[in-house]
Amino acid sequence: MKQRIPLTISFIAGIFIILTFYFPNSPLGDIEQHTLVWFAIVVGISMVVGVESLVRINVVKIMKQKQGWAYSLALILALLLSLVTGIMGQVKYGSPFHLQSPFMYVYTHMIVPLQSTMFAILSFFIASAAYRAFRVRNLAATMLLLSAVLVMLGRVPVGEKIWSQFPVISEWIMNVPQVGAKRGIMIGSFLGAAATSIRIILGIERSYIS
Amino acid sequence: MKRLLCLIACALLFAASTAYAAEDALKPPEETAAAPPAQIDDAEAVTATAPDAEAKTEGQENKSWFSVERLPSLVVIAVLTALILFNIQRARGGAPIFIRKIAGLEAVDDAVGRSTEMGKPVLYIPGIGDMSTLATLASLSILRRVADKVAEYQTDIIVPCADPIVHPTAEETVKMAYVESGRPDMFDENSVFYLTYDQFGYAAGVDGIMMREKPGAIFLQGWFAAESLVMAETGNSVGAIQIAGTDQTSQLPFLVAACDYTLIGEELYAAASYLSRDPVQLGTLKSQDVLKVFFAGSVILGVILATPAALFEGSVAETAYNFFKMLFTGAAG
Amino acid sequence: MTQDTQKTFLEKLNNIDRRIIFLVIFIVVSVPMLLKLTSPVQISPEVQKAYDYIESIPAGGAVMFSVDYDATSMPEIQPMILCLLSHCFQKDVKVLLTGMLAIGMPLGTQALESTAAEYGKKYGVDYVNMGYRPGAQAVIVAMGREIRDIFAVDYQGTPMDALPMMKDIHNYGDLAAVAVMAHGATPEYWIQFAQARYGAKLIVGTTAVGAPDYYNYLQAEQLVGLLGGMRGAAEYETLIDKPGLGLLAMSPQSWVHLAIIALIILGNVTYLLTKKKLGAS
Repeated sequence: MKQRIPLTISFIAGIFIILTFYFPNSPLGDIEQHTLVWFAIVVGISMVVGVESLVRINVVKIMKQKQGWAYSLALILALLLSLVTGIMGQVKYGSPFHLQSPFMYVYTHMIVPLQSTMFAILSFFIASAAYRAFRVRNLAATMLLLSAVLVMLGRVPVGEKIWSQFPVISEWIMNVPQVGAKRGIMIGSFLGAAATSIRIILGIERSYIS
Repeated sequence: MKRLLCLIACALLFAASTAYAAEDALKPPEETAAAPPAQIDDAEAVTATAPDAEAKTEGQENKSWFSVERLPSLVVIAVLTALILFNIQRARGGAPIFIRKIAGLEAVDDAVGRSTEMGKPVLYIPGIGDMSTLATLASLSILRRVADKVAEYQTDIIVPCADPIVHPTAEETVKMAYVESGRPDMFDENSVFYLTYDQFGYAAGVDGIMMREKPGAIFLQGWFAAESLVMAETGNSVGAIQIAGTDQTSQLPFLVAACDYTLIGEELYAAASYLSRDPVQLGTLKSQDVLKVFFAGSVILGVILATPAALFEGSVAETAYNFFKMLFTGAAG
Repeated sequence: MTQDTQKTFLEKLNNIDRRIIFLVIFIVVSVPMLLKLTSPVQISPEVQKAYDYIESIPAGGAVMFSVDYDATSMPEIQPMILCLLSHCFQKDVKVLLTGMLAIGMPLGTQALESTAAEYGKKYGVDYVNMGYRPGAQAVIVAMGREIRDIFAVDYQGTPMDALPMMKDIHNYGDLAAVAVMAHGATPEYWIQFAQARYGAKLIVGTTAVGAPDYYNYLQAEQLVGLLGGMRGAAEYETLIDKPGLGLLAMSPQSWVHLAIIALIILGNVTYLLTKKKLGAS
């Protein structure tokens, strides 16, 4: 029974959504529109579930003074700061995202620099991974290395200055071999995704409900 | 089983016949083909639509109850469903199903075993996709198999989640693995937790876990974007054995560079079937292969037809190509 | 002894400390940036297509912008949204702003408000900020039939019907284009649901890492234009003749690419020498 109810819901919802794709107008289309709004609401509410987990785990860590509890405290304080400034923005300006809202101050001066820093690390990691991975081990690795170098040169102004044909070669690599290989992987992936969907709808794949 | 196949076939026939019988269902080529960009001189117009607006939106111009241009995809779905059911029936009947070796999946046992020997935890990263992302569902299926091994070997597992709905599902998945292994007491409910849905916040959190816990094995399975390399490189630096898998083609080069094994595209979807060795699951893989051969053949045939069609405009070759194209797009031209 | 020392040096070079690589990257990025060096760029076909498409929209047409990125990819995508918004306002094209990523919405709001102020545009008449709703796929599909079903009010709670600009805008059929500014999966959702299902015209602006994913959609004419990374922004800035952060970033990007190529060459030389020595011994 514990499994039968979610499996039945998956089956009915899956078949219904497939049908609305082929019969898009009234009445199925109208019902679908309502279900989409419900979906958006459910996703919004699901955030609360996540926050509950986050708060529970970190509060327990602080209470028991486990290793690294100070980070948990910083997290809870940051969560409260965002919440309080967000509510203040909503009350005073009608939206936390209003440019004068205190939440926007927190956003601009704390969230933006922290997030940008994290993404910036990527360029350092790309460089170290490239140094390690791009080696002329065999023919395939050599081709990978050459195409990477050609694309890198073709995508920046200095490459154009070195040789005007670098951008042309780079464009060709991006539009022909890259797209060809990607399409092959994509067709396989989408077939796998479609088969997984069908397995879920028919109740064959049920590991997600354990 | 037979009844279900008959039902699918009947639904297909019914849909096809209704669609083609419906008045003005199939638009003539000149109506569906994109018109060249044209300027609208009426500056007073409150809104003007796309410059080459040919889009017929649902519920507006196209009021026919069945969307005929979507018929090809319905045929594909029906054929795939029928093939899956047929192959499952065959597998249940004991027909042998061959599946090639996938190195990344063969290494799962070794990776968990290595962690156990080193006394280090296993870190399972289910990606940043939500529950409607199929790669996440595939990842949860793999998590179940990994958790089975973890419970069997009595090792610790850490599962940080980036989506609030993925979190309880992952928690339940790991818990069930411990329960079914007869060790429910070993399950630590704090081992599966929600971190943040923010992409790089998640990457930072996961990196922190890697540096503090120094896991022996790291699984990066699911949907990833630019944060994949940040996590994979950190995992590499702590010396963990890393098994990655994603259907995101733009992240594959990074994962290949930084991880020991990488499941590419559909291998991720095949992983659960491969690890479980359940004939029913393996039967579905066979169906994918049949359709893949069909699509590969169609691409080759398409190229053969398109080449003379491009060379000799207005010829029989062009008509043949247009007909072939219509079979796939549901619209001529 | 000498051979041993050489071998050790080669081995060290072969497995160079990643912090040295990080330092090299830091220097080659920061020096040209501090010197504010700029480099002109050639226009690629995918950016030219996006420009031509916006250029062909008549005055009074409307473009929806979807902010599907956050501060992590702000350096790459913010210059794009700024120049696309400028182009739209230059052409008197109306703008709707929404987003599939809550934490990115303030960036879109900042870009929209500053550009609108620059061109003297009025809220509700020339542009509308619809705000954020959770559940990206559902939101994109639902807007194909009626925007009001999902966005009954704008980001400050004003009913959509009270905004003059929204009078004749109900779904993708009433929009000239949707500009998806994203760093994650959402362009694929837009392609699958808004383009394939409702025929929306899409322009995608994404990170350099993500851009290769969309070339096949561009070839299949499911996109009307594509801007990839800072280079895409720099090209668009060149096209609208409004130099900004994109063009400024081209010089550091040139140098960092050269540095990575140099590192790859160094890595391969040491790799081959080590291999040769191991073969000889």
